[in-house]
Amino acid sequence: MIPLLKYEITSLFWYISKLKAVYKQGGREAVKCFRNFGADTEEYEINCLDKLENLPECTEHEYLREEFEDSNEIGDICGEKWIFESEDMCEYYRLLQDLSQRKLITDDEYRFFDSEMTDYILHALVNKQYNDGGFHCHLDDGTMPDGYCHIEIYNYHDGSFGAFDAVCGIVAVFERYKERLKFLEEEFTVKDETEVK
Amino acid sequence: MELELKKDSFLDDVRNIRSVRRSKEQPERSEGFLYLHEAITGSLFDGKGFHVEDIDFSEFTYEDLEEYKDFYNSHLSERIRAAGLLFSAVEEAAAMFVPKNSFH
Repeated sequence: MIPLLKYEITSLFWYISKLKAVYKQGGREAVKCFRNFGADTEEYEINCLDKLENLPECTEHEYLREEFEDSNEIGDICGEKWIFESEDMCEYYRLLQDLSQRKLITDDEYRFFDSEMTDYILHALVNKQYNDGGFHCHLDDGTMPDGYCHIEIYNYHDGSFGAFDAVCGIVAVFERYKERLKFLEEEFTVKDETEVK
Repeated sequence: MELELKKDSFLDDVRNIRSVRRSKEQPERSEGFLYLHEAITGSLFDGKGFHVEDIDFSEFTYEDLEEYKDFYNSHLSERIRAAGLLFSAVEEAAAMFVPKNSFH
C-alpha cells in the first residue's frame, strides 16, 4: 500500500511542528537527533525513552523503586532518573565563577549569565512538560561544596512524561551551554589577555 | 461499516492529493507550503518513505506549516482516509481469494 495511506500523518505534523519550534530557537543538534525517525509516529515516545539514555551527555540512568518506611522490602518500579553532564556545562559555570572572582564581570553580569541558563532550561525543557508531577528536573551548577555540575531529570510513572520533548530539551540545553561558553570565552577572556598586555 | 464512493470523482480526488500547485482556482501558495507538500505528502504518496532528515527546516516558516496542516486537515485528510480504507478492503479481499477456492 502507498505509505501515505498507512500512517496517520496528522500526528506527524504535530512532531514536525515541535521540531520546527526547536530549530527556530537554535536547537539544530536537537533536530538532527531525530533524523532517522520516520512517518510512523506511534513509536516516537518509546524510541525517545531509549534515546535519552543513549545521548552522549547521559552519564547515568536508573529505575526508581517505591520505598517503605521501616522495611527492607523492595518496592515496585515507580519511575526513572537520568543524569546529564558535559565539559562545556561545567566549564561554563567554572568560568563564570572565575570571571566574577577576578572582577572581570560585575555581580549583575554574573547573575545575568547564571540566570540566563536557568531560564533557558525552564523554557526549553521544564515548561514543555505536563505539570502533573510526572516530570522533575534538578540543576546543580557545581558551585556548592558537595555538588557537581549536572542536570537530573525524573520520570515519575504516576504522572505524565513527554520523552520526545525531554530529548529535544536536553539536547538544546547542552547546545546552548556550548554556545554561551564560547561567548564568555571570546567576550571576556580575550579582553583579559589584552588588558594584561 | 459503509463507505459510499463515486468512482470517477474519487479517482480524481486521489490524483489531486498528489498535485497541489498554484492555479487560478487555488489561492496563492507560498514556497514553504509547496515544499511541505512535496517533502511529506508527496514523498509518501510516491512510495519514497519519509524520515525527519529529509526535511530542511529552513525551507518553510512556522506559519507555512500551520497553513499546510489546516489545508491537509480540511482538504486531504478525508480523501486519504477513504483511499486507505478502500485499499485495505481490496487487499483483504484479495488475500481471501485463492484459486483452489474458486467455484465453477
